[in-house]
Amino acid sequence: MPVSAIAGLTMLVLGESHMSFPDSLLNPLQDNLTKQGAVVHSIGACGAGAADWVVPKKVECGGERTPTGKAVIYGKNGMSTTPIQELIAKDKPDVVVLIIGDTMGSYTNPVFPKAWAWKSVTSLTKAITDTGTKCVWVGPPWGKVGSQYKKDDTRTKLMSSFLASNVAPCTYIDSLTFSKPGEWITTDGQHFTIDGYQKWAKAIGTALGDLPPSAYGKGSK
Amino acid sequence: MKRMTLGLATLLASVSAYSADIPLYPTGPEQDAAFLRFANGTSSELKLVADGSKASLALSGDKRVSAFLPVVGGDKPIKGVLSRDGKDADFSVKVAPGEFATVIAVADAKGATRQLVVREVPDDFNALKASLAFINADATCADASLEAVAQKAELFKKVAEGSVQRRMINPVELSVQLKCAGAPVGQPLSFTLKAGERYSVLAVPSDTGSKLLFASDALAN
Repeated sequence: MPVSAIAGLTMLVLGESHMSFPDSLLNPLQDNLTKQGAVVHSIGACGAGAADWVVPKKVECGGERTPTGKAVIYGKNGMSTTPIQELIAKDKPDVVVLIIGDTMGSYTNPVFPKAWAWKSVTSLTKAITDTGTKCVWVGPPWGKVGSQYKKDDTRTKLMSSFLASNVAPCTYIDSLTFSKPGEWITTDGQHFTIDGYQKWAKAIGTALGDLPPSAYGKGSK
Repeated sequence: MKRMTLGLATLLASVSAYSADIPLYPTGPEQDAAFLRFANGTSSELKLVADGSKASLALSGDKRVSAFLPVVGGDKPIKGVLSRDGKDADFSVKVAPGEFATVIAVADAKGATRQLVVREVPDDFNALKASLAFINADATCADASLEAVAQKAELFKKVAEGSVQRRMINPVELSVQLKCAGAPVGQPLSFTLKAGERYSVLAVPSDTGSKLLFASDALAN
């Protein structure tokens, strides 16, 4: 069995509500990456867009799991985001993994706010790359059309395409390739059932493990 | 059959649990971001004081173009005073959501300050390419064009006064020559473009004929 590209890496995984509950991505993804040999610290913050990891923001809910600990869930107003450069200084990760997309899709807005999204995304990628840390950005998955979040396939595709063009020098992982629209069952159009999150976590873990060593700054030897 | 029933029950239970647990959260702003900057196309110092906040900035010497300042886009104009050579001139600019506006101060034939407002709604955000704009703020430069000297290629053609053209370009070192009505004017201007960054070249009037200013389209912190 080939050795995973992330074996031996220290990883800081940040995300939105998809990462904020034990049975969302928080546990299954951390378990997957840990099994591949990575040392993983995961933090989720409900509603946090990219720029909210540059300056602190109080959020409605969140979750965290240290490399050796169990998931800790923060209740209403019990958590603020920590600026990325503080997190990097503390954890000294080899790579930061960002799972951010739905908090920036502006699904309820008929016009996608590109200028705002560009400012938000580039503020975070610059903050990370200024530290010399490698990063991988995981884009949004398909949701269910017509839900309370107004998530729809066209905007989801646009959001993913926007991120793909704008997250460099972070490596982009396109979650839309992991399933067909509507294949993973959601509870509210945006968040998945346990089964959906397990499938998404497995797909992300596989994609991270399959990236070339250069994505993690290892170089080709 | 028993396994199928159990699976469905688990699925429904998890749907119910998540529906209750995960609150709605914002997926973006109600309207796009908007930005405003100022450029000094005169030979003297230009001072700006904004109404309300009384925030101020001075543009002179090597710093003749400000960063893009975040403003509230919409029908409410941003107002203030431009001062040059002891004379004041009011400004009032509306910036639409998603718009990047540049107020350029130039001297008219009588030496008074004239304001040009150039507007862009970018659609070319890309972290792998550089983005270069050419703004003609010189009424004496007809059909302004910008030629890449080494490549002998016209990057921008026939840009009228008060107009802007923009294009994506490879992140390279570049030397450009201004042409007015097809004839070279002034000396070439050299600069280096970085991937993911946005830039502008402005043609402005001067006592010795049209000249070029180079500016990064950076956002103010």
